[in-house]
Amino acid sequence: MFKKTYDWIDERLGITPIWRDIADHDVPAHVNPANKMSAFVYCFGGLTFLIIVTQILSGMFLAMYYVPDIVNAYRSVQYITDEVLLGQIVRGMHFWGASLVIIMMFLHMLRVFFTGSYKAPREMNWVVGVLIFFVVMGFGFTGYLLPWDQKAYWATAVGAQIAESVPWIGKYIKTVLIGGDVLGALTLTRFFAIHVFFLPAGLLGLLGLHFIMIRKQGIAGPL
Amino acid sequence: MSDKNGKQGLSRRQFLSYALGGTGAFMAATIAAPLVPFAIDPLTRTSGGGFADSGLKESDVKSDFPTMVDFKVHRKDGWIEENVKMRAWLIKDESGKIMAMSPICTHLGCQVAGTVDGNGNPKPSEDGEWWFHCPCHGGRYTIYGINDKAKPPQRPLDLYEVKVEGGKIMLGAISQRKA
Amino acid sequence: MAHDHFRERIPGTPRFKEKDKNKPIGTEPFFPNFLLKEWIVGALFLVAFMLWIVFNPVELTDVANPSDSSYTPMPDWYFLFLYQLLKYFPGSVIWLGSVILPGIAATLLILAPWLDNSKVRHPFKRPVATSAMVLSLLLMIWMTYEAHVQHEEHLASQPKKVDQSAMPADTTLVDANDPGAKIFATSCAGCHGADLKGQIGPFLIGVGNKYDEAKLVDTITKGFPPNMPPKGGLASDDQVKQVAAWLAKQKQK
Ligand code: HEM
Ligand code: FES
Repeated sequence: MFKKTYDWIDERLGITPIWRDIADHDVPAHVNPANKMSAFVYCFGGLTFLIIVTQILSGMFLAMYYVPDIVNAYRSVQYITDEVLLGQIVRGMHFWGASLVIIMMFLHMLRVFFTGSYKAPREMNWVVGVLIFFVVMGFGFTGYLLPWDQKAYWATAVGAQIAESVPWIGKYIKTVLIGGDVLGALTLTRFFAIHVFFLPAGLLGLLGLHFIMIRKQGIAGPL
Repeated sequence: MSDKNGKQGLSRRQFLSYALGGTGAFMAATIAAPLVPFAIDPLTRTSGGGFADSGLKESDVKSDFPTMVDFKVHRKDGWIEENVKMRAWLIKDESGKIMAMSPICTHLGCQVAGTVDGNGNPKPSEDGEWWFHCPCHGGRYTIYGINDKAKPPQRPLDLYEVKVEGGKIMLGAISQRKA
Repeated sequence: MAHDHFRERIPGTPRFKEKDKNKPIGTEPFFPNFLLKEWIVGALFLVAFMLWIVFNPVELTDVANPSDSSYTPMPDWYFLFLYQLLKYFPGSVIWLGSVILPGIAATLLILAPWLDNSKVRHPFKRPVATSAMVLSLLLMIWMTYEAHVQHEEHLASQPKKVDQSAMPADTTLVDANDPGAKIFATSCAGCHGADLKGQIGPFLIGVGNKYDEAKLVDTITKGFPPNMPPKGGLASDDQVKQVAAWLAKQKQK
């Protein structure tokens, strides 16, 4: 049954070569921790991706209860934390995951840097990587405001002030960033939209490029 | 099964694939373990079952025609708690038991109207035994909320759970009656 | 690991690259061999992550209050090095720390493959790139640490709000007209509040449940230098006694 369905689709779309290419490509010995323990540094990229997946999932589930408006945001987070079944855990996944993504991504970047893996022909993938880094920082900045508690509010207030310090155009940057003159209702909706629509779209696009390039170019050889 | 060398049992490749599937399933389960209960949390919240004071006394309910009452029910909707306005029609059945009917038509949920005069006092129906009329698709019901099978609604009006406490009528959860 | 069914395929499917059979030992197909190892690492990592979450509940501070400017802001930890950088460029040159320096750093990072464009890859063979990164790393770690320390110092220097979580629910004063109460108002109330609910010092509602009069005399006489002066700043032992007698009656539940 499964085989028949598969063949039917394969006949039309020719999907076998796609997954065979991914499944059968050979992974060199020097990135395999089973061969040489120190190769565990090559796992960092994959682990970053794993945590990104949990971030996306926990975020989707949190959105079932969260409301991005200044009257309800705090109460909905409170409701998640105090009342919803395992809400504390799901919120914890997303909160701690945010830090973990940063840590793992940073370690991954250091691995790439110190092994000189960004050198030709992989320069473009390095650039994509740095862009991913900025996008993830953006996730952190916008997500921090969402619970609308004191910590969130005042950290964002500092961020807005820093934006304002840009010469000449600082004032305009700040206004666009917080959606008005005061940090309030419009800031929250704006940050929410950026956090759950704009940045994920950017991140997924960049990750797609990242992985396609890795597959095309292969992992850099042993040092 | 046999592999290419004709040996019996799992090939190395099959074994690894199963192990991979198992590890993947374990990771998926670890991630899903908190997420699924989180999503189905509403199942753990029953719709209260609490009773609300209807504001009517036992003696206010007649046995000839239903009496209408608007009352408030405390409702917890997530983090928002509010008092929701509800309506019920109460009547004593032949055995003297109080029944409280919901005015929500069992066809598509319009609000049925009782037969009342200009002052809102019940009066006999001009439509034979049919006393409640639905404005939407012509559904009609007797004073006990029994539906006219020839009309769209196929079920009698729903009933509130009724409890009498010190003469005061308390109304609880709504339940359906069989057709 | 030199088995020859290394590159075995699912029976019936073609070998992908028959010629690879003689690749160096240790090379293996992505699926399932390598992925299995990755996923085992991933599974362990995930379990550690979930355990961490279970034992470290996330807090929620009070609801945002735009008019409470006394709150000490603190960005999330991974922004701290940037936050700290600002402190070195105060006032009108803040843009050096907020735009120019981070901008230069980001540009250098993006351009790394072109700046460090030799063929060699071993970190020890490209001392400039390696030491630049190590140095930046140390700086970031140090600045993050500094920001944290300075934040803690700042918090400690703030008059801290008293923790009233353990205060009895009933806060009506016992014998508000007692002579002890009048003496209390002259000095002690400045820190403990005229209503005994605490301000800089802890609340004293219900203190009679914990200490009797003798113990109170003793405690007040000693004080808690430097936070509370001996005798609580009162002039005489007699005054201390009267205050202690009044406080001993505060047995609110
Ligand atoms: C969400 C963030 C990221 C994910 C999920 C990710 C994922 C991966 C994965 C799975 C690999 C394969 C090798 C390995 O695991 O070490 C890889 C390689 C690579 N990554 Fe990333 N990465 C991320 C961010 C970055 C960043 C921030 C940079 C650099 C600034 C970067 C630059 C590179 C480069 C140049 C390679 C090729 C390395 C080589 O060929 O040896 N990546 N990435
Ligand atoms: S809704 Fe009442 S008859 Fe259709």
